[in-house]
Amino acid sequence: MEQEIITQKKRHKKIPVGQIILHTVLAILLFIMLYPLAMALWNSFKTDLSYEYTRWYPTLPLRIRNVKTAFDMTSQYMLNTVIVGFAGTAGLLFISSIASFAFAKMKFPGRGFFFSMVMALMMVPGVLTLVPSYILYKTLGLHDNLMALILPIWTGGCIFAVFLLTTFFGGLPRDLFEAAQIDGASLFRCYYAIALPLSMPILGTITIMQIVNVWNDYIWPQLVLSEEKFTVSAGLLLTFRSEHTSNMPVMFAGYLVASSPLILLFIFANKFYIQGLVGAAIKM
Amino acid sequence: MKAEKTQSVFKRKITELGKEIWRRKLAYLFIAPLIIGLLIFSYYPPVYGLVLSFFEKHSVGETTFVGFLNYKNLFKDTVFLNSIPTMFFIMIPRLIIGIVVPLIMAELIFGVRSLRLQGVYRVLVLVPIVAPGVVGTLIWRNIFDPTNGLLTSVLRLLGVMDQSQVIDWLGNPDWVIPSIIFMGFPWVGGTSVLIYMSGLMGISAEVLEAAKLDGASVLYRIWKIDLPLLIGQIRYFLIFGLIGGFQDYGTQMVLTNGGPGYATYVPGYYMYQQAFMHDNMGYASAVGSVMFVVILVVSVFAFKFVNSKNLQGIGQETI
Repeated sequence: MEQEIITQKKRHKKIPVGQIILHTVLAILLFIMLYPLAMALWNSFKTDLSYEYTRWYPTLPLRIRNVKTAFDMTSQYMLNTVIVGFAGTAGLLFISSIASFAFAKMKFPGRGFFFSMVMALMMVPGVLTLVPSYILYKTLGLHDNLMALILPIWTGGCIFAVFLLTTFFGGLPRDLFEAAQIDGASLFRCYYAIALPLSMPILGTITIMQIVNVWNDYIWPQLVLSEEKFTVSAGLLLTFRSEHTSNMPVMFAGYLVASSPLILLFIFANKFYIQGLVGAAIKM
Repeated sequence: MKAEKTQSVFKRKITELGKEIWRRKLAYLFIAPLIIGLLIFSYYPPVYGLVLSFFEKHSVGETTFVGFLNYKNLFKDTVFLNSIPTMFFIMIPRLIIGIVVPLIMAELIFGVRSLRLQGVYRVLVLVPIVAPGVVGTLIWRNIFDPTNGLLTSVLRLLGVMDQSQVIDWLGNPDWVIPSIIFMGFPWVGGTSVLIYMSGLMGISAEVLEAAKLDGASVLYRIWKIDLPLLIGQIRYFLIFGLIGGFQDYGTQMVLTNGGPGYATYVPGYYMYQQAFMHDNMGYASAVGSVMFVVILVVSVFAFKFVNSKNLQGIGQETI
């Protein structure tokens, strides 16, 4: 009996049936997930006519002109998005990392209070703040100004970053900083010369999350900006939302153009992002 | 005499605290940009929102105090009352899907023996994030196209639907909610899978090896070892899924406009409509305030229910 089990186990090792089934299931799931995206991709390069008849698979020749048309329609939105994404993320990284360093590594009266004050905001839903924020930004004269998109990133956008970074800094060994301090390093130096370089992967994750957020947001930009200052998602909705868009391939090309910076970011930074996420231990 | 003594002790404590604060001034400098920004742009708005719910406010003209009138009207407003069950019908399935499916996907990838292929799958799972959410939703609008969309075509191919049968997925009140829930099928993409994977990879190899030696089946191992260790991640998805699910109206904004009729109106979308289409800022704030209270109660309950520990990280190893 025991012998039988052992031989069975051995056989399993030779032909990993389980593994083959596993790969098949994964492949099917990923195929279903990716097919609609792939469809949008190849349909960006079709003529109206070939879209009508061959939309389910890629065909040649590629009609590059769609992309150019779509780019002309969306380039202003892209530029706005890049400005907001860059300024917003740079400020967010600085504000949240230095505060998280203080929360995790420095002792001061009221530390727990201030930290809870930041974390409590995770529980305040956007539905409660949308209307009053709209009135606040209007009162401050920030209407129709890209700052109306950047300031929320520097403030509310930092909350989740502080959550991640405080956990991360908290896990760094104390000896590291003590040694540096004995060598005469200031606390600020400990922050930018030790803590920051060590947290590059998680900072990369935060950067990508934030840029994706800027890319995805459309409700707030639609409210506070005029059309020529819209960011990408709001601009896409404005340009391509009408029920009967005459030229479907150009619409898909528009999606492609709007996604292209994210695609580039993904190609170059996915390792960082995955590393950061896997190392971050996001849980409660 | 005694009062004087406690007073002097109190005074001394205050000066000590003052000295300590002065000595640690750098820390306050470090958190100042964050805290000041949050006070103005994250603490003031919700407070103002709660106050506003007791006023009648339009973008021009006077703001008048109306007491509980907005709330009284709200609880007689059938559009609002009907939007609450709609929200649950959409949110609960999506919440369950959002917690369970990525977990299954993470376990599947974790089960892959080749580390190189594991890495490939991890990257593939993330690919959908390159398309902005709006693009994803608009692509799904295309999939739901009643005459020749992907969904209809696949169902016709499989023989589930007749060649001539037409279902207006998003235009038919009976189909629109199932369709919204179906969006994103098979729901395996995205960050959640990786967050679960990070938890799985944190389980020590010895524990897994021991389970294997004891002859534990995979399902038994998942149930007895993986799940208890992933409870932190599950709690995270549950609470933020709840908070997000209660107030999400992105699909309504992009796909349905709350329609057909009022079939997909949810409280968040109703608030948006009231504030920015009908210019009833006070009334909209009342909707927001009610949702805030509900979300707070539910998330505190969820937090307790899944047996929370304190947030980690703060002050474990200070300098």
